[in-house]
Amino acid sequence: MDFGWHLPCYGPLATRENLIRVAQEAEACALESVFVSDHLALPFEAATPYEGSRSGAFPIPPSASFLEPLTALAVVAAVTERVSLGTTVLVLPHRHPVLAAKTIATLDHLSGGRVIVGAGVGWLREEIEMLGVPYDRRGAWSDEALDVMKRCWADERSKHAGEFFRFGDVGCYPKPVQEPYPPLWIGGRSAAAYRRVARFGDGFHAAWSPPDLMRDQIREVFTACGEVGRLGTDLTFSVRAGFAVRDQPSSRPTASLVGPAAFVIEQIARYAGVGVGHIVLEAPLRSLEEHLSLMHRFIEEIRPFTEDA
Amino acid sequence: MSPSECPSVEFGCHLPVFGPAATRANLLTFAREMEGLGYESLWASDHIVVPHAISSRYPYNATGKFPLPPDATFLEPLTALGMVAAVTERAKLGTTVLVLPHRHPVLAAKALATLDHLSEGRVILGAGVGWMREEIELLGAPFDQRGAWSDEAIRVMRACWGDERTSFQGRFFTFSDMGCFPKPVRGDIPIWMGGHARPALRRIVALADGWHAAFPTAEGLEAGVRELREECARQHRPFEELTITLRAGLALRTSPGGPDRKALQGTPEEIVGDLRRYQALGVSHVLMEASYRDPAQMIRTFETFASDIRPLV
Repeated sequence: MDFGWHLPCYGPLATRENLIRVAQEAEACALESVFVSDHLALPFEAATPYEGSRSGAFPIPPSASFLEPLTALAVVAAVTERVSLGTTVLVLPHRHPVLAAKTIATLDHLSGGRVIVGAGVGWLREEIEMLGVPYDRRGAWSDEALDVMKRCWADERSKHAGEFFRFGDVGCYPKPVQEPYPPLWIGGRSAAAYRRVARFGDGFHAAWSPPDLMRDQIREVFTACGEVGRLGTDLTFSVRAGFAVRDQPSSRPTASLVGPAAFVIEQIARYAGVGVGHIVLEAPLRSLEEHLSLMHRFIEEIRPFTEDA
Repeated sequence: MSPSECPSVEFGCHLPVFGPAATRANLLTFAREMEGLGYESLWASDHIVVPHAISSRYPYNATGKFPLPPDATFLEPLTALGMVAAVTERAKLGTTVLVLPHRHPVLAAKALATLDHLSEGRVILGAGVGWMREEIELLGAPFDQRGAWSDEAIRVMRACWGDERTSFQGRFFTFSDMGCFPKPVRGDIPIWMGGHARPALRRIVALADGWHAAFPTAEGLEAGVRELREECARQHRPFEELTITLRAGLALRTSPGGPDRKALQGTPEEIVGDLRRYQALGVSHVLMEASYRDPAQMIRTFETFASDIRPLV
């Protein structure tokens, strides 16, 4: 099982010092990856419910700092050497796909091939419409965007003719170090998302799914793979999970790795049992010290006991 | 004005962001060394794609041909500056220039504010409206309206940076009541606009904090400053509010050049003369670009400038 750490990329902890210190510590602790998330602007009044909370309210207030993820990962890339740099998730409609491909290729080039592109179609109507993408067609738009990004990464001469994007014969360089492009892990919780994984993905990256749901989702991804004649045995299954070590497990659905160390170890074994190979640990923390001490507890009290899983 | 009455000039270096020199090692080494030599700023340029067929005329050389082939590496500038921000502490981080139509202004504002936040207030936005039709149209902006589009984009960015609750209603962008955070550390990010045509100069006086002239001749710079003064008078803005800056190629030679010698390309004495002329025109920041062909040589050129030429200015 590979493990990633969600970096302090939003709220008052999202400072230069904290971002760099936590990323360097994750690398020093031999965690496999660090991840950041993607919001460009948050509405004061949101019409769409958030699937990661029971109330449907987005847990981060609109006045909270939320770093642009690829810029934050560039800072992290410069002060680390080995740890993978991922997005959970890059919301495809937030960026023109040619710009996204260029930025990701630059990051992969400058980091020596360490990028993991977790990508989704987004859920927040106001933000997506603000950026000029038709919310109700964001699935089709994103499918085409993924096609465009692949053309930019893999082709000597990139061109595309589709419904939303059209261009002929341009050079997009640098190419990513990882050939033909960085691992593309698609997120989402719908039949369309599983089809997108089968069609475009190198992995499936779930947000907040407990092990039982993850099992069902993985089954659905394999079904979708079958429908397009793909075995899917090469796919990476990854989950972003709430994490904390404390006396009692949490009843919150987003907190599948919250509880006593023994419980967290069992839950990780459950994830491994259903085919998960990568977990992004996200802890709601109030200080740099809490990040570092929880990371150390994970390394000392949990990780050594997950290796058989 | 005598030199003692002139404002002091700051110097910046163009980073190795395109061609074979654009590697992690070169970028980070160069940035650290230039900061160590006392250069005030580090700069990256902006192309997202290079079309195989380019119909627009490149405005910055005699041939009108874009000097890089389509398969040349060209780093995304805000990503390159993010890397540089992490390994420097003091140097300002600028774009020369960010082509505004390449990015939705809300995304640009967010990425720039993030870079400013993580560099603790060091960002300068050099910005332009662009010249390459194919690239701009590919990214979805209307080439023939890129001036109006860019004016609105600047207003959107300033709203994102300045307002607690950001709303905007314009011709190209409309949204209401959004939170855009982090805010820039200094409350705003200085915008230095490129361009030299009349609409560009109008835009600078109306919307920007400074002029960023690209590879100007001495006469072009002089004419531009004169026109900016006139435009300031028309718009009732004190000329002194504008920061006058330029980008020029730096090349050190051992023998004097002829009448076609370009500014900052010559003997130390010639370059000092060029810089004094700039100073007299009110230029306060000079961004220099040395040949990337040999990264070690590029560093030596900037070392020599720092040790032998700068003290004379």
